[in-house]
Formats: sequence, structure tokens, C-alpha cells
Amino acid sequence: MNTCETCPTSQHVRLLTERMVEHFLARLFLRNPPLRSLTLVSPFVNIMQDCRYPLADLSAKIKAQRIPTYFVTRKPEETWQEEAVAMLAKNEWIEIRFNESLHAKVFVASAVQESESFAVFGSGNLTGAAINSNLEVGMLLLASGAGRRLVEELYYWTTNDLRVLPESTLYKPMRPTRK
Amino acid sequence: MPNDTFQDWFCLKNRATFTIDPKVHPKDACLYFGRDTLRDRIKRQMSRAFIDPQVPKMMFYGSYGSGKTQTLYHLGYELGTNPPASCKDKPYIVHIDMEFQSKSMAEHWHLQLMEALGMGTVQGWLQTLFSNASKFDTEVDGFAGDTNIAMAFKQLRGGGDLAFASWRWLAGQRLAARELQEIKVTRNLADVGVGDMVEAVVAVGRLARAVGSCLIFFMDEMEEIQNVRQGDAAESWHQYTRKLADNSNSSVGFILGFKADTLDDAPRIIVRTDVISRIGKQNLIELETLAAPANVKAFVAEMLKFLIDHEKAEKLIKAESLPLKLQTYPFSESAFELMCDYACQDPHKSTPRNIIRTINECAMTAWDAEPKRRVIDDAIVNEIAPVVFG
Repeated sequence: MNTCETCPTSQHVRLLTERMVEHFLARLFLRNPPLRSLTLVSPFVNIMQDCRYPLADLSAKIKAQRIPTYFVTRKPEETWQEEAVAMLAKNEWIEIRFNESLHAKVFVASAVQESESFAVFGSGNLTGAAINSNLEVGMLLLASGAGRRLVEELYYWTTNDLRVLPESTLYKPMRPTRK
Repeated sequence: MPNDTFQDWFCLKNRATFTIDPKVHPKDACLYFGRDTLRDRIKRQMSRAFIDPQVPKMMFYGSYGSGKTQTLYHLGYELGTNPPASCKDKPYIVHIDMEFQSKSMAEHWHLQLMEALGMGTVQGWLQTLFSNASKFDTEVDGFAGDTNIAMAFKQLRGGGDLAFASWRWLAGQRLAARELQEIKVTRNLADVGVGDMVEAVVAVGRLARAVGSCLIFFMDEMEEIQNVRQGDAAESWHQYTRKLADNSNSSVGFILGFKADTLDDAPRIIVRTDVISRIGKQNLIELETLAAPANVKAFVAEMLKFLIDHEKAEKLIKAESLPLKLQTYPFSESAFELMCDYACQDPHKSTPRNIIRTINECAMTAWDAEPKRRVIDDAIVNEIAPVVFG
């Protein structure tokens, strides 16, 4: 989960050369900022059983903290994908859409206090393999300085433009209960 | 129509969804729905401010989603396109989302202001002045007020490494003794105190005036100033605010936006009595939630009126005999009323952000239905609105 030590670091943008998805999840779990919404865009997903932050924990956090979550993925073709999607589908705070053209991997945590928002995009899916074995690369964007605009634009793209694409078919709407 | 986009389906005019965000879509800055009274009040005060103290000095506060950012961007748009008659110069607006850390001193604020303004902008103003003024040096000496600042301006116009060092100096960064010598200034900015930096930014404001511009900083997210916890740091921010607010500054305007549910939640550093007495209580403006049914209805009606292509929607309503009126499209009349009712239930939640989100999510629910639905009915509103406003 290290950032690239040989690359210049910036306050707002960091290159992630290891465990980019875990970096996002770690920030989500450890910093734990109050969230306005969460967006997970990942063509493939599994339950991330052997990972530090398994999908079940992520789903439990979303449910416990009532975080409106938008998840866009491809229609599952394998059992391991179906299992993960089924797990998320049980969560009333998660909207699930299938998009067969999806190749992008984008994760956005939109915080109540905007400067606490952050996003990760890159090559890694929301899978154990992306965290434990694959060679992935990504960028972490923090919503400060020049990073804020980028996080805002990613948030806007994922929660608006991507969701209303005709190809982004709704599989399961968000059905939260009233607070 | 299987190939319809969301935009086509709901007859949206030049936009993909119902969401409004001036940061992502700068053109959205022209929009300001359902708050004519507030807007007129702000414009009146702004108009007076250009007479005395010649620049606006205002603060907006409200809860999350109350429209601070939209207000700031809209005012920027209004000043750019339709400035008050009392504003003799062309407003030059600089938007900044402020950032603060626990030990951030006023130097960080000054640096953010200067960097957001940009070296190129100030150089451009100096070049314009140089081209227009018969005695450039005398003019610069006149408005700079301080010999070091005047020298920095002259070096900045010259370009090259000296210009860059001069800019760094004006931005409050510490220069080495050799660099100070090269740009011919006697000390670093802020060696004497916070007033030095304010003097520099005010001098930049006077430079802007000299070339026909009126410099105004729009600073959002000022609630983060509460991150400044270290005593000296907090005091330096307060001093910077106080000096900018002072009557002696008639060159640099500022409009601050911060999140605060009530004035008691406002960052103490910037709303101390000595600051507020300088800008005037009337310029500390609360952006209230819409709350009253009439306000919410006006907001939604104006928003739909602007976003919907009425000609297209009217044809669609006739062609498909849709059970609704053009004024509430794509909501049925009862769904429109129902949504407004939901929005008014809790005054703290009847914010523009929540209302816009509800409209968008209702439309998405109709779009996602199988088959797609043209009309947002009571059932959809009953599904979405309680989640947002509940």
C-alpha cells in the first residue's frame, strides 16, 4: 500500500503503485470521514475474502453509516462475481448498475466536509486479485488544492453522467429506509 | 425510442442531467432560483459597497447545501455580466476554495490569494500600465505605498528570474539574502507583521484599479479556518481578516462563504466584533434554507422552467397525452406538490442541494423503470423524497 517512493509527491495527487484499491479502502475505514455518498466503479468485483477490508466489511460500513452508495459494474458472468453482487444487492443503501462497456475503475468518497473527500482511479478492480497479486497502478486524489476540482469532476461524472448512460442499466435501486 | 438519452427523454435543454454545479459546469453560475429577495438584497448592498468603501466586503453563511457556492459563483457571474452602475471598473473575480491546517499562519492565506490571482495576471496589469502611463515608475511609487512593494512591481514587470523572485516576494515566500539584494528590497515581506502582506495585496488591488479593474476575491469553505488551532496562527489569521476589512482598504474586495448553521457556529476568527464592525453587520448574510412552501415551489418551478426545453416538452405532452402540465413537467401536478411538501417538512433539510438531488433522483427512477416512464408521479416521489428529506 505504499506510494511510489521515487516519484515526486504532491499534496493533492499521489501515484499508487501498490494495492491501489486497498489504499482507497484503508483511507475510507481508517480516516472514516462522514460521507455524503460513495461511488464504486469497477468492471469486476469479488468478495475480497483474504483482504484486509473484505467486501462484507465495506457493505456493513455502508449500511451502518447509511452512506448512499452507487456501484457500477459489468453484469456478472462468473460465480465469484455473482456472489459479490448478491452480497451488495442485499444492502438497501447501495444502488447497482450494470454497464457492459465499463472499463474504468474509479472510487470516489464524497465527504460532508468537502476537503475530506478523496478518489482513486487506475487499473485495479474491486477484487482480491487487484489487491494481492496483480500489478496495478492508480492515482489518489485528495480534495484539496488543485485536487479538489478533480475529485468534484470525478464525483459528478460517476454520480450523474455515468448513471444516466443508456448502457448503465439499473440492476437494483437504492431502497434505504427513512432515517 | 430506445436510443433516447436521459437528456432527450426529459427534454433537458443543453445538459445531461438535472444537477447544477457551477464548479464542474461554469455556465451554471448564471442560475439562481427562487431567492429573488435575497439576490436583490445582496445586489443592493454590493451596489452601495462600490460607493463606500468602493469594494464589496461581505460574508455568507448557511448550512451544508444552503447554496453558498452557488451564491458566490452567481454573484461572480452577475458582476461579470451585469455589474452595478456604481462599479466604475471592470470586476476581476478570483474564486478560491480556502485550505487551512492547524498551524497555518496568515502567510498561507496570503499565498493562496496571490497564487489564485496568478503572477501572469499581475504582470499583465503592470504591462498595461507601462504601455499607458507616461511616467510608469512614478505611478507605481504612487499606488504601491511602500518602496519595497514598488520595487517588486517594477522587477515583476521586467520578466525573467528577477520577476519570478519578485513574485515570490509579493506572495510572502521567504527569499534568501542574495535574492532580496537582486530584486532590491530591504527585507522579506511579513518580516514586520501581517500588515505587510495585506499592504501588498491592497497594492495589487490599487494596480488593478490603475488599469481599470476591480479585484475581488471570492473565498469559499472558510469554515475550515476552524482547523487553525495554534494560538499565534489563529491570531495572525484574525489580523489579516481585520486589516482586509479595514476602511483603509478600498482596493481589494472579498466575499467569504462559510458553513455555519447559526452565527454561533461561525468561525470565531473571522466573525469577531472588530471584523464585523468594519464590514458592517448588514454584510454578514445568512443563506437560509428555503423552508417555506412558497419558496420551495418557486425554486423548483424556476429550476424546471430553466432546465426544460418547453417547446419540446409541450409537443411531447400533446403527442403522448401525458397527464401533467407543462409548468410541472416532468412531475405530475400532485407529485410536484408532494415533493414540495416533503421539502418543507424539516426546515434544516430544505436546502437547494437536497431539492436538486431529489429532482434528479426522481427523474433517474423514472428513467430506470421498465418500461421507462415519462412522468414522475407520486409513487416515485414517495420513494425518493423521504430518503433525502427524512
